[in-house]
Amino acid sequence: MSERPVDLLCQQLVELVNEYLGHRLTAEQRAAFDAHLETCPPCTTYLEQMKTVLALARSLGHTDTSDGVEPQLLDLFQRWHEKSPR
Amino acid sequence: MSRTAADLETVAALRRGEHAAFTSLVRAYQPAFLRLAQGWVRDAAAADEVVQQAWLSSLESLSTFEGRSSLRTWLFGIVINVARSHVRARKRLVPISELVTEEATDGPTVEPERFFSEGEWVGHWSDGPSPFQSPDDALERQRLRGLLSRAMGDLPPLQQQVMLLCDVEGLTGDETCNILGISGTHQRVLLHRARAKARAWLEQHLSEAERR
Repeated sequence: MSERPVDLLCQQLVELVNEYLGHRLTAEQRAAFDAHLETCPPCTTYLEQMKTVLALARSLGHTDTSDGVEPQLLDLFQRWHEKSPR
Repeated sequence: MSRTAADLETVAALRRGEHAAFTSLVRAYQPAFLRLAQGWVRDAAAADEVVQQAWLSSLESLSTFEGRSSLRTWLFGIVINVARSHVRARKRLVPISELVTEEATDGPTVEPERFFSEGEWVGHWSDGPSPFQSPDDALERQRLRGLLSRAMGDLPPLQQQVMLLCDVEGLTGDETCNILGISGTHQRVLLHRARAKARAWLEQHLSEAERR
């Protein structure tokens, strides 16, 4: 029979959320975390909120960059290349 | 082609003066450059100036790029150096080590008042979080992205940079530590605190918006 995971408090769980998402918890901590989630809707919501934050953050990094490059940057590149040693 | 070979080829193309290589680099990194610069230099025009200076510094230092880190990591390091030099020229620049001390302090992730402090349910939520509306449609996602941008704009500088590098740009913890010159432990604490604040900020603003 497997041992029952250690009980976690909600207040302890929120401190572990990033380690959980980053897969840095020990097997024992992870089991306790998962067991807590099964019976705690507010902590499940908290975890979902954090996942939403991360998904939104990642999407900020995928900004559309199809706009043209500013002419002054191209000038800058041209000037740099003309004076850089061959 | 491996990442290093591709980066070295990009550098060689830039040194040959190939506009296409520079254009694709600018397209790939200009938004990230601007986000990183704005963390240190809040004024939009000054941040633009920093970004332009960072591109010039990158080109001028190309001969020193050896492929030990990715080109992206190397470029981000230059942006942060240029932005911090810009601040240093105008006011006292707080050293990174001091920022770490200020921003990586221990403290609760969620305000203690939101948990029962006594009784049978001590340590459990007394005021649990309400689910964020699911960002199903493009408009709602756009709104939430805008809110998160504002939330991150409110973070202390180092927390903001760590969250930008790790969560927005997708760099590893090690790459982030190298760019900012901080330890892995501090990087994790800063990221933890940044995400917690961003979540709390979103929660607060979304619930205020619902009440209106």
